[in-house]
Amino acid sequence: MNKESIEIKKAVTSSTIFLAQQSKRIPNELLQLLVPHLVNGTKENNRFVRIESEKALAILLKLNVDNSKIYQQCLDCMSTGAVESLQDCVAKIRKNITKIDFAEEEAFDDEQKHL
Amino acid sequence: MDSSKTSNVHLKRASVLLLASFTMKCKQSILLNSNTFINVAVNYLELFGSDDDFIVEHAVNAFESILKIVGWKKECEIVPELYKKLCLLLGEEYENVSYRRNDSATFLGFKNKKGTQAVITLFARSLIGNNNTIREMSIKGYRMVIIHADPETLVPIVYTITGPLLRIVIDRSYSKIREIATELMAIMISKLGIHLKPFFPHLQTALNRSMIESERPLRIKTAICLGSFAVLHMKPNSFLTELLTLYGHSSQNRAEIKDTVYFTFRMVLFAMNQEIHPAFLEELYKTIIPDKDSNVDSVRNTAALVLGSLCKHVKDYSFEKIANNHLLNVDFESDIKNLVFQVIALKTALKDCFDRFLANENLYSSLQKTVINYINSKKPQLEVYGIKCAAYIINNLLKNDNLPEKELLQVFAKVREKKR
Repeated sequence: MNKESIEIKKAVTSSTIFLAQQSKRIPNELLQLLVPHLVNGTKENNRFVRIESEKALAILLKLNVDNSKIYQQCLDCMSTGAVESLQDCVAKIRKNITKIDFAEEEAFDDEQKHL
Repeated sequence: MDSSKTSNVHLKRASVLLLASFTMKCKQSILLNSNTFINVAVNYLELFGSDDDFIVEHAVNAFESILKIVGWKKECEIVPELYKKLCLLLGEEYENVSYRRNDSATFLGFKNKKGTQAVITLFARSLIGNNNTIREMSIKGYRMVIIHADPETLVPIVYTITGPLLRIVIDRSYSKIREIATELMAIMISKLGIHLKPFFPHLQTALNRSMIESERPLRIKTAICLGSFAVLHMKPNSFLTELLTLYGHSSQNRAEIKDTVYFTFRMVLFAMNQEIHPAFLEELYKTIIPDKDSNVDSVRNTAALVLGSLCKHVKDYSFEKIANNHLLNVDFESDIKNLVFQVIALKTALKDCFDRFLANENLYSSLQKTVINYINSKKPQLEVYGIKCAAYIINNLLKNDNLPEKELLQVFAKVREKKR
């Protein structure tokens, strides 16, 4: 995977985290599109992409919260196959949940980098 | 000292009282012997974070006694250990080692005026002197105390804490210390706001001068500080005109400082909600447009940030003109540098004033197409910025309980599938 491809995937995961941290509500339409791709991202060969996808998924679905409402919302709106895949992925993420900093504000758009 | 760490309130109070009595009656020779005074002074630091006024008062009195007994020449020797202790208590980095803050730690930050003032006074005095290592630790310690103190704690001592800082910002001394002091001024402006009003004239002069200094990191910190300061300024138009004139008359090589000056305008325009005179906006627009074709990436990209920032402040007809000429209706066959300029400007405008696009049906329709085209452009740099533009659009729509258009959502998420 080339550097540019990784940059694009990074843009999507950091945008997802940005939306998750800023928005009070994430509609089903967005979850149905984003979540399967993030789940696929957690199975990528590239380690950086895997870690970023796990982080984005964890923050989007608030996996640090018991009985997360948004996680339940996601399970309710996705197809059976996608749900199974998501549940396996979430179980894996939860094993290393302490490594994810949920409070850290995502450096989504660092304007200083233009300098 | 060990007993003063107990959780038993009565035992703690008794220990502190005993320790304070010993310290205040101690002879200088005993304190200076084997540097006892350093250990004792650093021990008191933990007590300053107590919510028990009795403990804090006696700890502060004893701490100040130590400083008085050992004299100002010796008190600088306390700074390194004090700074290290602060890093440990507050979970900050010390000598490239990050301390993870213990969640059960009892140090809750600086909530007591006297305790805060005692520590800051020591750091302020240590800023004067020739030892740059001590000075750097002092200003970093200063910063930690300010960050971890409540605004209510700082307001009564605002004159004590601001004066030394301002002297550093004004003084043409060791630039690393000026950088940290400038950064700290930005934090103080955010925390104390209008309480710093008596210092505004001096602060503005100092920051304006730093904006055109030769040290780049200092210019960047100054830009951020000016952004915070701009919000409080009573006369925003004269403030902005002065900045622009200063840049124009700058004796420094203008090309060298252009990007940081543009970044300054970006910070200021982003922060300001006051009405800005159209003549100034027009003047700034004329200044940045030629740099759309600059060969220097940082100058071009920061000019783009400013162009995007202007969109928040200009009148409707000017906004439409900027949007149509520079942000939308993109020719994807043109030079990549030009395209990157446009997409950065667009992203900035979306961040600052998305609602203006939403209010104009034609512009909004054009916006959707433009962002989708950026993401589908097969030019990675544009795709990345296009994704960020889409994120701003989606975020703003969700904030108002609106559902983003399906095509935009599909393209936003589809990027990952295409690249797998």
